[in-house]
Amino acid sequence: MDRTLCIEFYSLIKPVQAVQIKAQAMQTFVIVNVYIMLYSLYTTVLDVSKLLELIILVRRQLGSKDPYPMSRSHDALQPATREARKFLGKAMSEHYFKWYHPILALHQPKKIYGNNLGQPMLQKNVLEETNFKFSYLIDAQSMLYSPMTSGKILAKLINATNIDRLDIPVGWTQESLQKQHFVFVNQFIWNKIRCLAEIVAAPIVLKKQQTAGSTPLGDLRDRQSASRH
Amino acid sequence: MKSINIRKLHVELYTTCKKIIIMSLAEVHSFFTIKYLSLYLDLINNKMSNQKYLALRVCFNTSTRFNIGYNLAVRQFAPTTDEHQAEQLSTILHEWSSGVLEEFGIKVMLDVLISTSDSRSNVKRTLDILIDAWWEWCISHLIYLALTEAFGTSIDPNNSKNVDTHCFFQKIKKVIEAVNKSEYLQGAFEETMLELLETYLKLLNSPQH
Repeated sequence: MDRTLCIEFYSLIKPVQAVQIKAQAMQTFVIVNVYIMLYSLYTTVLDVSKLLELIILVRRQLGSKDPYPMSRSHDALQPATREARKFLGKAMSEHYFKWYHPILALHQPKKIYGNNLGQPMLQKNVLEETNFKFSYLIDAQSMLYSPMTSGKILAKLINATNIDRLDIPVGWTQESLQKQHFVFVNQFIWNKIRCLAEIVAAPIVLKKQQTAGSTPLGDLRDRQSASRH
Repeated sequence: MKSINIRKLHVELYTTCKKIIIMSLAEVHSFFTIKYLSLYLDLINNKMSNQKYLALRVCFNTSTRFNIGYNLAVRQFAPTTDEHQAEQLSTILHEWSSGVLEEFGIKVMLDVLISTSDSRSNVKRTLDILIDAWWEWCISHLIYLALTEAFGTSIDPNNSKNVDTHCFFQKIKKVIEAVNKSEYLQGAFEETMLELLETYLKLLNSPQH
């Protein structure tokens, strides 16, 4: 009984620990890997509707004598493992996956998702930093990586959240809220990146303008524009 | 054998390292027109001596190299009682960390773009509000907390949310300690490991977090 429990616990802990180890890498760029690994955790180990892949170190040596199947459904796990898996999913949601929840990720969501005679109505079209409880730095860093610019993973993470029916504002559905949350987060991230890009671009543009102004062609352009005015 | 003045050697090593870091940062600083540094701030508690340490690390990219990182300090953090009474801990942390960063020629408000730390409210406030850097919770700290909560492995059993699992892990810890204490059990364990895995994995006593 204890050996089974050890294997099941190990199978729960090992994939989570792998993310933790990856995230601590010092000299390599790992943020995209960590981001994808977290998403993969959410859809496999932490999802109680999915089978739990069992990691058995002695499998190779035991060969066909191994009595354990490679994976187990949630209901077939030991009660303690079921409990721990549920707790782990809850803890990870509380600390990380809540970022993608359309209601829990916002300060005063009711002020943003209003309603007008049962029709969904937005009180704000663009959210500011102060409206969000989280900073979305990992998402922003991942989006600078070209295959992820469209925010596919972000959309998947948001669409995977479950919203309590009581939390859904009148006139909205879970799907429409998820869609809107993706728009808000995506807008927020790209606005922040755009602001930084503008600061980088400003001196470059200024320098170009000054160089163009000092050349004969630039002088000609300046005189032409002056004559037009 | 010549006697070595260890303290003098440490000071010389520190001064040389500091010079190299300052030169490297100055070179990068001239290259960037925006904030470019990533700052990691951690308060470490030494359980043995009951002392606190302030750990600071900076990371940045250059046009040719990625993820260049320097540990700037692991310094004892011991503000006076007067400081404690006069200011919030986050303000004191801000002053201390700004002091270390300025030693290395880093202007906090102009150079620090993003920051990472654990979720302590004081440290978060220092980075997010006082330094005004784009703050994110350290993923490793986040996962450690989630695992501790889920498996009930906090040191204090009263804080444990999963009592059954807490007891189970305590049992495993005792088994490991018993094996490590007995030469006979260690031998038997080693033999079984070699037979099953063709390798010997040492059992480590659980560290105190």
